[in-house]
Amino acid sequence: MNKRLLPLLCFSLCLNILTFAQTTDSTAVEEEDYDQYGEVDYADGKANKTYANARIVGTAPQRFVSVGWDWQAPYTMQLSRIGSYAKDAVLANDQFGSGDVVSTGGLRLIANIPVISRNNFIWQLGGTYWETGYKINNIQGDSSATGVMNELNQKGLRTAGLNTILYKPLNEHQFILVQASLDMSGDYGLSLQGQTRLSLAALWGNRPHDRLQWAVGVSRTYRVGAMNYIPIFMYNWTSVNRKWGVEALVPARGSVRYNFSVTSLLMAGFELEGQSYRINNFSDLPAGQNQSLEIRRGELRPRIEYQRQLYGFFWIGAQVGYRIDFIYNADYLPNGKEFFRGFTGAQPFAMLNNLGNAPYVNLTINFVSP
Amino acid sequence: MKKIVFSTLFLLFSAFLLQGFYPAQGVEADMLVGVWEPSHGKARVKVEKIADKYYGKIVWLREPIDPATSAAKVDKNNPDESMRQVPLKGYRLLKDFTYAGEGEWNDGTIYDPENGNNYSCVIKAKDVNTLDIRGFIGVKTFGRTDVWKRVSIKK
Amino acid sequence: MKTTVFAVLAAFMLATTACSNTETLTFESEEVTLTAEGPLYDGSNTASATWTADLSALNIDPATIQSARVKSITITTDSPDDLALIQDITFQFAGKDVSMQQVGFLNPVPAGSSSLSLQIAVEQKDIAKFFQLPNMTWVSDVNLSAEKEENLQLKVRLNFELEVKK
Repeated sequence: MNKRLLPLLCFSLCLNILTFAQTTDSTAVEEEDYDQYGEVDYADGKANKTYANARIVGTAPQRFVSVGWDWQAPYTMQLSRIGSYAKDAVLANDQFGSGDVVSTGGLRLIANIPVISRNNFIWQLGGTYWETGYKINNIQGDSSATGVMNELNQKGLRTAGLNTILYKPLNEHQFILVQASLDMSGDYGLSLQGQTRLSLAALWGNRPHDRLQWAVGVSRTYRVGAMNYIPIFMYNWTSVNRKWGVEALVPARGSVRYNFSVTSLLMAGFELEGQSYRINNFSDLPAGQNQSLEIRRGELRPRIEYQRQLYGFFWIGAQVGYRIDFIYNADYLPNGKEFFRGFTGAQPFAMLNNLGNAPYVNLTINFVSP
Repeated sequence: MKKIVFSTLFLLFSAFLLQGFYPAQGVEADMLVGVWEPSHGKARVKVEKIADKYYGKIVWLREPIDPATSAAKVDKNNPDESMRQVPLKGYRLLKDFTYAGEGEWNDGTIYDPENGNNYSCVIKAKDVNTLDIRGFIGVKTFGRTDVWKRVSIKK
Repeated sequence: MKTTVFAVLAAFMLATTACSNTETLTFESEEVTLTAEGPLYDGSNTASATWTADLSALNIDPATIQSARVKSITITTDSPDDLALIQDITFQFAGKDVSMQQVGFLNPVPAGSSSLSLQIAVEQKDIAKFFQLPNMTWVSDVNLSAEKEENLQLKVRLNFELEVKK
């Protein structure tokens, strides 16, 4: 599943009541309104404390609930025989299995519920459920490779998870953002047999004015297909005329945005998706071993997305892009315990796999806070 | 690590259950009348009683000029295009609140000129000079609370 | 073929109109005085008045009003000096159990005006419901360019279009 690293800080972070007054620009000349209400005293002698709003103006609406469907065009899948391979090993043709993947995709559900949402603290809980079904024809080649391919064809992959976000503004400009998610991914059915994987992120940020927000931090993530620790950088910006913007959380995703109006926008950018999926019938092998065969899936998705208001607080999203296979190798994890390979580790892979790249489409209906 | 995460979530959830549990005491309905400032401090809203309901309008803006147009700010995101030149100064932001007792005014709405949306809204008095204003969509869960403070004109 | 289609459509529309059970009426209010009590300061001030629609001249029961729209709002003052103070103005209805409706505005008020014709909102909701109340409150928010010690009185006349059940 895509663990949107900072998933959709929702309405609680979005309701900019009275931020109409906040079209500030550090370079603009401030013109105060000097009528009778310009000079005031606070009735209890204490000024109101101002906190950094979690959003800036002009950004795409945040999603409370999203129901979507993702579909990839046909491509070729090549899986290796299960074994132990260095990542740059060269295998003979008879060590592979291949298949024509006619379609890939399925349902994607996301929910984000604000538990506490105040100007000085936000806590959000969320859940996700993603299905990735495969329809694979012409499966042929090495028996263990085709065995895994048949599992994918029959059961598909799914991921389900819970996540939480904590947003704490320290003052008018600075803030801290912490996110955690627990996911279970694999080809499980109702038995829910799988390993839970933990993703984390922590950032410190600054919001100089209402059109700019940035933050730096670190994350423990599965976006590149396996557990990794990487630095992350958030950057959100909107132009003075509110037409253009940037929304980025690199390396997870980044987009340039054009706002046609407050009810429709276009985004062009990319997203890195990834998760580690347990293949149950090929785990705990040889018999008696306690280990987990997990496909480390990482995908880069450059795309264009159009979002517009359907009615009230319901919006639609339509995404068209190209799914680039970043990694689809598999690991055996003894006792199902995660290990750190990072970008330079030399631990062997259990399978060396690759997927042909393919265009994709993603459609969603969303209950949002604009 | 997972135990720590779950324990922290449990503690925070408990804190959530306790919040908002203590309504202000001895609050009268007309306590809402007056001039209030949201937490961002960039506007002031005057609440009045009209025909047994409470309404609030913007009476002051820290930045009254729209930098994109160099003119006084107007309601440029109103869904009704014919009303997009209504000035924001004097705009009726809070509408139709009725006093429900125990320091709470409800059944009202709050308008966000930033996106032209009206949100359901409930106001609670923390004390006679402090309000919790919660705008929400549908149910109060999908909302956000801001703290407003009472101000008075300097003599 | 086209002629046949048009003929059928025209006949359908005639039949629909003939069978329609509503009629459209125009209703003009009397002149209502909205007062903003002084002293008034430069900036936003509120003038209001309670109004009860007298529909006896139309001989209709308010309960039969299916829909209503404001067609025009005309505002004058006793003194041209008062009108000259107004920079911009909005107009709303308020009432029990009905959400406040903004129906007109003028921004900016042209200099040298002797009367104001407000720009009317294209989208108007629930105006008929206001007619079904015992009374409604007319609320006008005016931004003044200068202070004024005495009350400001706005003389307001509204024109409505009513869709009434026959």
